[in-house]
Order: sequence, then C-alpha cells, then structure tokens
Amino acid sequence: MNDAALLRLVADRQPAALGVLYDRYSPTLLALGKRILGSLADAEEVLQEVFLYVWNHAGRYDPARSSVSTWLVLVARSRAIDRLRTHKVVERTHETASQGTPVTHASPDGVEAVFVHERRERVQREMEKLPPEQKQVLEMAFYQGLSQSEIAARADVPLGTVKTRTLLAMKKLRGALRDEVRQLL
Amino acid sequence: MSNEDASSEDLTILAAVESLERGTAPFRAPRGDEAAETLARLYTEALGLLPYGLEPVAPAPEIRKRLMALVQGDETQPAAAPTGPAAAAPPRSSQEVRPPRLASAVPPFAAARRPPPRRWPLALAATLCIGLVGLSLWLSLQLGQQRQTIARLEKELVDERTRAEESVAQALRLQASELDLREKFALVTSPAVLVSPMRPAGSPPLQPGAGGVLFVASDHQHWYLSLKGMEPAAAGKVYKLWFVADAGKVSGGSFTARPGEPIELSSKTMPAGTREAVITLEDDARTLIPAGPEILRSSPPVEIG
Repeated sequence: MNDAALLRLVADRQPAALGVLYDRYSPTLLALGKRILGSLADAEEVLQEVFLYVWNHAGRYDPARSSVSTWLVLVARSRAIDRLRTHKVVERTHETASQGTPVTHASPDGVEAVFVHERRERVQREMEKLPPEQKQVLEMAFYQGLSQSEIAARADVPLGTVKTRTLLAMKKLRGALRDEVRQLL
Repeated sequence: MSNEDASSEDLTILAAVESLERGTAPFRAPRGDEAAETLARLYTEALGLLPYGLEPVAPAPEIRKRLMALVQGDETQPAAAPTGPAAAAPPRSSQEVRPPRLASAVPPFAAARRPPPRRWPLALAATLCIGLVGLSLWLSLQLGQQRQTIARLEKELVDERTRAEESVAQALRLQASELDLREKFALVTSPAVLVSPMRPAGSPPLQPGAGGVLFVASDHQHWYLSLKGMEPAAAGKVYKLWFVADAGKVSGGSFTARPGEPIELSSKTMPAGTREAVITLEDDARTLIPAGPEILRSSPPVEIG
C-alpha cells in the first residue's frame, strides 16, 4: 500500500497503518534525529513525538506540496531542531556523546531494503561529489537549522556567497537525484 | 532557459531552503505559477532526500510498543466521539421511558370525568405503543439507509481523492519531464554547442544501423546524448558509455536498449579533457575498464552557432 493511502488510514484512526509507516520510515527518521541532536536518546523521543504528531494531524498532509516521505522528514527535522535549541538537550548531548552510545543499523526486509540501500548510496555519492563549501552550507541549513545569515556569520563569508553556494548545491543535487525525486512524485 | 527563468528558479530554491527555518510545512510557491510550483516541489523533494544519505538507525523495539500502546489507547476516542451524539442517548432513553409515565397520568384524569370503561386507557396505551414501535422501525430503516449512503459517499470521496492525487502526481511527472526537455532544448540550441555524431565502430561494424548525436555545452560539462537504432543487448550484457579524457576512459553510465525506441542520456558533468565518447557492450555494468566490443564512437566535434 502506498504512503498516501496509509496516511489516509491513519487519519481514519487505523493504528495498523501508523505501524506500517513507522516500520517504513523510523530508521531514516531516527538517523536524522540523531544527526541533528547527536544523542540517540533524544532522537528516540523525537521519533515518538513525530509519529504521535502524524497520528493526531495526518489530515494536515497536503499531497500537492510534498510526498509523504518528505513531509515526515520535514516534521522530524523541525521537531529535532526545536529540541536542539533548548539548553537541556545540549547538556544531555554531551553526556550521551561521552558515554559512546552504541549505534545499531537497521535492516529492513526484502525489496525495501534494497531500495533504501540504493537510495542511500546514491544520496551519499552525490553529497560527496559536492564541493566541501557547498556541502557545508547545505548541511548547516538542513541539519543545524541555521538561516543563510547565520551560516554567513559562522563560516565568516559574505551572505551573497552563502546564497550562491546554496543555489549551486541545490541545483546539482536536484539534477543528480532526478530519478529519486521522480519516484517520490 | 532565459536569465529571467534562471533568477526565478534561484528565488524558488532560496525560498525553499529558507522555508526550512519556519516550521514543518513544505514550501509552496505562489498559487497559479505552475512552473514555480513544480520547481518548488522538485527542490523540496530533493531536500527531503538528504537524510536518506545517513546510515539508518534501528529504534529500540520499546519505542514502537509504547507508541502503539498510546495510539491504541487513543483509538477508542474517535469511536467514542461518534458517541457524542450517542452520549445524548441517556436523556433520549429517559424520554423513551416517559410514555408510560404519561400513560399513568391518564387514569386519574379519566377517573375524574366519568366512570371509565377500563379498556380505554389500555387501548390508548396499546395504540401509542404500536405507533411508537412503528415509528422506531421506520426511523431505524431510515437510519440504516442513511448509513449506507454515507458509507457509499465516503468510499466515493476516497476514490476521488485517490484519483485526484494520482492526477496531481501525473501532472508533476509531466511537468518534470517538460523541465528536462526544456533543459535539453536549451543545451542543444545554446551558442557554441559542440556536436559530435556517434557512428558505428569496428570493421565490419557490429551494429551498422545504430547512430546518434552527442551535444556538449560550451562549459564542456553539460552533455546530452541521443541514440537511435541500438539493438537490445543480449541477456547478461549491458551497454556502457565511456568518455575518453585526460585520465583515460571514464565511465559515463550504463544503459539498455529496446527495439525501435530512442535512447537519451544527459548529465551536468563530464570528465576534464574529454576528447571523444565511445559506447561498448559489456558483461558487467560496474566494470571500470572497457573490455567489450565497441559499438559506436564519436566523430570530431563541430561547433554550432
């Protein structure tokens, strides 16, 4: 069953549909939360918040604006960035980082495993192809939630340069990930 | 693509990236501007792919259990929500209890007027009961029909929404294809584009009916290859494109062919110092060194415009 149909069932209060979406996306969303927060414990809390948000607000999803996958990613990213901006998390992040939390890798089954694996390799490869300065502005915007002005201040470069690097990076990515984007449409 | 289009695309990209700062809703271009809407969607989806480059992390099974417990506990609420109207049932049932009370009020009234034939109130009560039972049956039939109608309309609504979503997705795919075509058109018609005919290689050539054209933009990066007449590769074989560059032969990707269908390949990057392009038939799509026979080879480029 496709993601949009599952989300409609979630809107109709079908827990099993939420379970399928959880199994399908939680490893990627947890990785995203961990990348942003640096702490597996906080990322797991965000993951639960995300799926509770989906349970309560599935009706807010607008298929004209994004795929379900991208909507989930943006919801998770937003929640994680909000949490990052609190002091508590910063403290706990340091604690957890010093404990060296073991990371377990997901192994979804069957066709989806191959699909996810191929997508990961492709995105990793295309990100590695970006010049470091372009990759840096994209990652600062996406994973740290920084505005263009904040990136300019942190990287100590003019705002115009940040915008140019962002544009170049995004154009390259969109071109390189054309097939993946089409699969999401 | 004109400068105006380019700057419009730039604004869309920056708006999509900046929208990340504002919350959970994906960026949306102003309504009515279809090209901007399509671009916004494509760039938003590209952003949404970034986390797929991370190593996935399996959540602890307890998280799923806890989530499902929360959700299943909550699941009864909507089922209870329809009981909102049904929550009015107790008063209604108490109303249903009223008729006997009203009936019980009849005897004193009737007794006051004249000595009653005792069957009157019983007959009246029986008539009222029969009437109420009939009314209840009729109402329950009506309710059943309305429920069926609502279920049918809900199903139609879901079907319509599915169809509408499929149409939107189809339109987006078409718009994405149109953007591709525009980009290719802009490339092949741009000033100083280099055009290299792709001709059958070998003597005698393995596929004399195959051919094509390689367009390379003036930046020597962006290229577009159009091929025709390629025979389907035998089982286990695959065609590979190679760029003969300063660093030797560099793979440009692999592809297959279908009878009678043209092949189009393009990319925004090309190895430095590329002098010509070659297409070979290989056993392994991942090979880094051409080992199979050459099928097509590019001729020296001609500058157009």
